[in-house]
Amino acid sequence: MNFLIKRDVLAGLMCLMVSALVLWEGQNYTQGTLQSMGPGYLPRVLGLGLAGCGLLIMLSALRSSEALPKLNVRAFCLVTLAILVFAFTLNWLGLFLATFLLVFISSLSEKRLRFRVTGLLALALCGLSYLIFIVGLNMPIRLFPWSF
Amino acid sequence: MDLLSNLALGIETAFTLENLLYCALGVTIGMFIGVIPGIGHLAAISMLLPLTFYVPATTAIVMLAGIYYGAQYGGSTASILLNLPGTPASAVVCLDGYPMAQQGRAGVALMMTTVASFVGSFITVIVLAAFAPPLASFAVAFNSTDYFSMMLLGLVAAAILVQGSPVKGIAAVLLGLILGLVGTDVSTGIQRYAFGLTFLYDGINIVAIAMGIFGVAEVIANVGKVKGVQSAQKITFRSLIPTRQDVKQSIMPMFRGTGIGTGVGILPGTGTSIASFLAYAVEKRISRHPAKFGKGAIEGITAPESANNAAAQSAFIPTLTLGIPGDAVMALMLGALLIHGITPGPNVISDNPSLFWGLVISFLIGNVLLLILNIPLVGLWVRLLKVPYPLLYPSIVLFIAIGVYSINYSHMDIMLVAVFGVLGCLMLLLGFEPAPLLLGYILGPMIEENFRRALMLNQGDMMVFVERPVSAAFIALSVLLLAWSAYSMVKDRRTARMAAGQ
Repeated sequence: MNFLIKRDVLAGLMCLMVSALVLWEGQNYTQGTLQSMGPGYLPRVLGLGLAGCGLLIMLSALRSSEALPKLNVRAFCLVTLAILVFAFTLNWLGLFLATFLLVFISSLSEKRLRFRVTGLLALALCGLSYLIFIVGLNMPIRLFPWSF
Repeated sequence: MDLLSNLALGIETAFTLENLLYCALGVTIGMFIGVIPGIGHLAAISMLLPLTFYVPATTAIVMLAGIYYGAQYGGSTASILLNLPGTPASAVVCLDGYPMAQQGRAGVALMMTTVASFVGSFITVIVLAAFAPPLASFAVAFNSTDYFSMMLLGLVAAAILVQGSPVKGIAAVLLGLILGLVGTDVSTGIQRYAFGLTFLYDGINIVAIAMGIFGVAEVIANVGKVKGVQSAQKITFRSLIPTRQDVKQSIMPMFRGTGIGTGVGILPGTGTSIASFLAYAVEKRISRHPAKFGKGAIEGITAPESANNAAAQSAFIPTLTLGIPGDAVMALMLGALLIHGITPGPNVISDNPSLFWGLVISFLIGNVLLLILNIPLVGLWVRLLKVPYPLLYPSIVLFIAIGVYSINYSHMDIMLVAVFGVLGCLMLLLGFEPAPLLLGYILGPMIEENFRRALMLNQGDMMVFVERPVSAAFIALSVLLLAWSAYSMVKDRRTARMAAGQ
């Protein structure tokens, strides 16, 4: 168990997983020869190279005992969620509501949510991005759910 | 004569209203980003990359470059006043800048770093104008074999010269190359690694990658860590004036710093941080009073400041002449050129003289602007340090999201930003540097094309890469770098084991 949570073991595992995916999907592309390479030639080389790196990194983990640095899990989840929510509500709910959702969800990463300040920030950012992107750059984004 | 007409062309290009405006915008944003700890120039450049779709190529690069060198000016402000580097390159300025502030000499330190930045940049822009065109005309004779080897050297250097384990650096480059595979294969038209998702057919959007691994990951890493400042020292005009002694002690360090920075900036895989650390180390080594370093020695701030600014300018030499980006910022510049349909390489200067010369002149204008912005507005920049991060980061996240949407009006691109944000965090967590990944991603398609072409023209004979002298030189350098890093890894491990055994 202790061996598994070492930083380098996980790093090596990540490399191996990516290389497995690359090699697996790469089987569908013709390899070709050195003289006329197919679309599958380079992916194979890169996949094997990455696997090699992964193994080397895991080997080096035998000696090092570097633990994982701490991740701010709350910020990690909430900021990612905020972006995803924005992605899927922008076209549907419009810039105004999507901005409020993004600002409030990402602000939850702080220990204490200051409701008024965050609301004002969202309002100000809405105005700014309306001016820059809709008025200034003429982007086809709706402002409210009922706009165009 | 030729030079004069080129300079005239540059002045004509740089002094259009649009270019002046974007140059001013770029350096102001750069200054702003540089001053505030917790947002780097990479995040800022990737945030503004979408804006450049709306302007011509030259204007775009003028602005993006302005952010880069502007941030080099601003970075030292927080180092001096708060002992907190605004940018990684100015971390070394903390060592002597903060003690100076404690001795009540913050104003002098701010003034001298600004002057040092200006000296470093200005000299290097002249070096750029003098050496880039001949280098480019030499490189025009390169064929696909030489190109492949040159890019290989760029990638090897990027992988090995990063902080931490070189094996992880290589892994990051390979990951970037793999991401570059996604989309339509140029030679056969086959979809690779698109997994049937139509929005991947044109490849992964570079803006989404850059914003994810630099912008989002940086925000997540900084939430809860960057604290607003309660009180920063008040800076009066009078306190800015250095003594004659200060000036005398700074002149040679500035020139040495500029020299070191210019050299380091040209090398692939290095960046402004390495330049400023190296300049500091050299000053300390040759100083007659090394004991003064760390206690407010003025050489300890002026040399590194000149060096990081010089490196930020000289990094454009390989980018514009060879199409080889030295670091992640330059990779984004190449991305901006590619977006505008300009293929990076030795032909950039001869095909688009107004781009190159306009850029050179705009660098000079931008640096003068920064000098003007910096000194009278010192009070404003100091006040900026008080903006609380809880207000800043939701704004950054919002502009990242809308920014990437504005390129293709595709909400899938926003989703990709989230995905790459997660990847960026994982990489930080596991100790992979993001910069080599971006370099791999940018160079990947070009490397594959040149590799295929070189081997097709030479009947699949791999020996061709060591038979052509130019290519052989690049390959030899790559091998040397790899061997050196393997050797130093083994040596480190042995000394570590000896230390542990005793």
